[in-house]
Amino acid sequence: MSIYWEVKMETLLKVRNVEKIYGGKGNLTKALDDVNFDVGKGEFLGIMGPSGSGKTTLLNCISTIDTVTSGHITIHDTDVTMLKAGSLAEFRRKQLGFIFQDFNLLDTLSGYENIALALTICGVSYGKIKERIKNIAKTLEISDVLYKYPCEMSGGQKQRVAAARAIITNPSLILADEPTGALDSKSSRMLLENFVDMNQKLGATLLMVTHDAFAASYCSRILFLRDGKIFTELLRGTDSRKDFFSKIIEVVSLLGGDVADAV
Amino acid sequence: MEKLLNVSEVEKIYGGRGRITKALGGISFNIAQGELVGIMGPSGSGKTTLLNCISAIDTVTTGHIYIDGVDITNLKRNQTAQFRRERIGFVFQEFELIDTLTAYENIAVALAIGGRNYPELRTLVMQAADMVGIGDILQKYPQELSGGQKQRVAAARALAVQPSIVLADEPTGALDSHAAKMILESFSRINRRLGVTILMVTHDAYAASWCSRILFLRDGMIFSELNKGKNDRKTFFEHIMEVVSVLGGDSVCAG
Amino acid sequence: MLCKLAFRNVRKSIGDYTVYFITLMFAVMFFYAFNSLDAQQAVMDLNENKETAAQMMLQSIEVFSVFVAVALAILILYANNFLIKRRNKELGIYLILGMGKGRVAGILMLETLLVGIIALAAGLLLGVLFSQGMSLVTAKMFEAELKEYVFIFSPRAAVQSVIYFGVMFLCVMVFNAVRVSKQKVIKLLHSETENEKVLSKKTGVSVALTAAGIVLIIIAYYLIIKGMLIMYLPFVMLFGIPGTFLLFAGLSGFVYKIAAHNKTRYFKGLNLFVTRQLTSKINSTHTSMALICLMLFVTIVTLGASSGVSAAVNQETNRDIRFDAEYFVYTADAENAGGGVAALEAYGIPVNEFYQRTAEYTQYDSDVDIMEQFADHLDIAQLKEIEGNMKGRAYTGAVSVSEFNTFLDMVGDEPIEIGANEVGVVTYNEAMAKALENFAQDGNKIVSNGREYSLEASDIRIENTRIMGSSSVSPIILVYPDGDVSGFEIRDVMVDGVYVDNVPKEETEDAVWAKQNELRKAAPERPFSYFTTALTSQDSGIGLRVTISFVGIYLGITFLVTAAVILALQQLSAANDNRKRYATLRKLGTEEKLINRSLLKQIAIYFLIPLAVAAIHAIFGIQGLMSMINMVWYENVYQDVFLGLALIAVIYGIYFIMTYISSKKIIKEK
Repeated sequence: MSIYWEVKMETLLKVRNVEKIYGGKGNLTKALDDVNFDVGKGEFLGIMGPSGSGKTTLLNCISTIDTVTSGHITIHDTDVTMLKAGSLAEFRRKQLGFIFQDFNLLDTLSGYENIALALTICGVSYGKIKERIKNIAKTLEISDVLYKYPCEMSGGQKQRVAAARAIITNPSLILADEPTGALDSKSSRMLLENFVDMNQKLGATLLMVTHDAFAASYCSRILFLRDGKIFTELLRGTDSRKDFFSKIIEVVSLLGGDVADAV
Repeated sequence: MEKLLNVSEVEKIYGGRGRITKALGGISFNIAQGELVGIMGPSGSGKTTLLNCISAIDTVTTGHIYIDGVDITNLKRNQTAQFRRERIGFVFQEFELIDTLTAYENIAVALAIGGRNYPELRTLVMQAADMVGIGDILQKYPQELSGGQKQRVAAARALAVQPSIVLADEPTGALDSHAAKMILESFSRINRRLGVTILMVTHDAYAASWCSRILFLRDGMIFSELNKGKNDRKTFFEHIMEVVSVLGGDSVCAG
Repeated sequence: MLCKLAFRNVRKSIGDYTVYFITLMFAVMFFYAFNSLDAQQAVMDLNENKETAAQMMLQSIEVFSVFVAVALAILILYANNFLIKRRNKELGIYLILGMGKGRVAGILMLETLLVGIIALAAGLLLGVLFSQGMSLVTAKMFEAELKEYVFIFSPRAAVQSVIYFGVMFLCVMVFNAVRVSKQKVIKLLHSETENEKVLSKKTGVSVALTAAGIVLIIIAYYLIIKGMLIMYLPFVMLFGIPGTFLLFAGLSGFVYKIAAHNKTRYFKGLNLFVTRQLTSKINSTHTSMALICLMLFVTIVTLGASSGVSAAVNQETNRDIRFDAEYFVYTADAENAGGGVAALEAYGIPVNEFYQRTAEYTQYDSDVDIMEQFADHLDIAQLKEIEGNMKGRAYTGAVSVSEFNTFLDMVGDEPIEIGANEVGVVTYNEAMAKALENFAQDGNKIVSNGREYSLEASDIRIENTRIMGSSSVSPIILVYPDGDVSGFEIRDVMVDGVYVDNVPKEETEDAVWAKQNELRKAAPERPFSYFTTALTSQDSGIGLRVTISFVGIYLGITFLVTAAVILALQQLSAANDNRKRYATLRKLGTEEKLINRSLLKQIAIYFLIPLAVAAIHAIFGIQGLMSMINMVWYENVYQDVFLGLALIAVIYGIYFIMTYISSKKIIKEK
């Protein structure tokens, strides 16, 4: 298992001095306030923080869904804040995979077709599509729901199909926004184990936003955000997940306790 | 203290076609008049389902829920709406303000539906606005307000009907820490000074630390209960964090 | 894969957006059916006159098809816009997956194409079926027989439909492509949280806007009432159209001001919610509401006026004319030949061969000014009519009694007998006859030739002396003693005839026209200025009536349906946006009954406002139009106008009910 501070990995994502300001008419909100960090290739990074801390905004800026007010975000030497509208599509297609809290599967397509769509967009041939979906379905344990439509699947199954769709194109970076937010604890656990498999067996780089300490305990590193700033950082290192979870709880406690102190 | 809310053996089962989920697995507890109770639990633990059942938005599969001695699981459809309107005040995570109405009108609308006459309505709106300190923004529309202001308008709307109980579903969920603190202070003040009973669902330990008692839910069951007792909030917060840690830790073991 | 996706989406949209699909289909059907009239009339047994009339109709339909196409194009673009808006999230997912905007636009284009082809095919099929039934109606209106049952198909109309709708779908594709390329992903993904634009204008400004609008509209009305529609049509439009837009621009604030004035009522039940919903909706859609109002206005005027005008034409053609042909012979030719009949014979018309009986009389302009001498006994409508008709020269006609008696004799009426200083009266209008009877019974005298003539009530005859059309004749013709007309100016020498008895009238008719054409080639210098027959006039009357009715229905229904569908779609999309608001109301403890009632109120008011304004506009519009074409004469025309309005009410009502039912369904969705 590769660990960031021991083996100097290749840097995949660089976030530099990013600011995001919302609103207008005297009602300005600074959602992100000078955020800086790096993500190495093969990392499974969690971003935690209370609601309103700016974690989803940060994810949206990295994923090119939203634009930054100032600052730069570089993925694989491409500055996404400078990308032209024309090259955005290609960039998303080749470099990024998305997993959302509410799945965002197309309800007119079966599970198989939802996954296949990500490939057909890239122009992959049918033979390869078949092969790749078969493999990924096995890894993510969704072989039996491939021919169901989203409305016939449970939440956990939908989210694993969405995960398959995100990883099938071998993107540089998979972005997950509260992926366990709509799942019960059993489904969450399954999905998170899948994420670990994706990260360790398939070498995917994952960036997951969550407010749930349990979900975060599966990550290799966690950034804590508060009020638009990075508050602290936590590395799993060689800890067991249980120990790591306790550390996370401590930081969360500190985060809350800090506010409590300020009263 | 008087028993205001009595939840007795409540079960809620969702789904069908071989995909059954037990969202609530036989929950019982009481809340007395004047309490500020928190319900905590990870996502999927059933806390929002429980709140929906108590507010008669959702129906229970089995069991009974009494508010002020009225069994709300036996209410007829048309009685439910009236009961909800007159006895329960709501505060939601996403505020649920109607964006075409001003703050004043948002507070007034529940009263108007209930058929209060205008002078009475005006008095109730102004009183409620004073309680949460929003007298100066009553003529503004929701989109001109910050999140914290919106939530205080929602709180005023809940209070204006003079309910038996205020139910709050993740009231700080969409707020930044400063706004969250303000709304929690409002809740605490209303609870202490006016004796309003408040039941708040939250996943945030900080928000929970403002309560006098906390019920912890996991996978549809009450997992634990915590009383603030004579502790100060900081100590209480640490206690809460301990339980949260056990809650999560347990699932790590089970995983 | 993209094809599959597009195909699935289309299948889904056919289920989801029935209103759009059905509207599209019926648009094609309607368009085809009316443009296939050429094929329809080809299988009818039409004579030459009716043939000409049918050609006129076809040409008018073709011209108006352009307007219809524009209205339909607006409708389709609007409906498409509505559909796309509902699919924002889906489009967002495509973009997130890294699909280029070009390809997303491609999927949409493919969908439009598929929907277009299906709608076009289904519409054409329906149109072909519909035109079979329609040909029966057309035949009945032309009073013609169908030769035999033939399957009717007009390739020309089919091609035309395909081209017109093809261009429309092309516009939709371009529009969608532009729309997609301008969208932001984050907006698409989170579109459901978008807010309604709230009332930001100061109510004072709104009231001022509305007041200005009303003033402009009143000016337009005033111009119409003053009978200046023809001359001032551009001015009427110049005031009326911006007036209407201004009225709607300020309406939301205006309505709010009125509704919120009474606090007790405003804060009762859901009143404040309904008011806010309506005003914010009106505020954000006031331009299209004004447009809808104007479209409804055009609908009411065309449907109302066309049924009115066609009824009037019908009355005109069904006049009781008791002779078959008339010639307006030149005075000089009549004098040279020694009489009108002689002149016709000299020209080569075998008068005796065609006509059983003929009558000949000279018509003069008398020196009796109608306005001056009869004004006290005529009502205002009659006076206005005469003033309009005679273009300032309001003198009665004059004939000598012995000459005119030959006409009466020909049609089998009792001759008029008058002594010296007595006159008789001939008029074609009953109301006029009644007025003159009163005039006679009151013992009034008519001053003419420097003398006073008396009028006996028994010497007043109601008679159609002209085939050509009553409005071209003086409404009053005085019958003078023989010598007393010599001083008057001669207008025409009239020769009227009744066809021979032993041959069917249609045969004589054909023979007369054949001879006429033959002579025209041989000798273009004719001794008469005008010739027509009763049958011809009837046929062209029928043609005119069919044309007016068809064009009226064609334009009227298209505009009506367009307006109604746009309103319906606006309300449906509003219901979609309002789901969250209704959910909030429910959570606050609002009974379903109350919610439904508030929904009904909103939709009803939203549908009624443009209709009400359009109806008031139309009262003046129809008035102006009717006086422009001098149809006030026919009293019961308004009955037919109301028939047209009833049709509008029914169609509009159906859309209203459909909208309410679907909206109710939408706001119940989770």
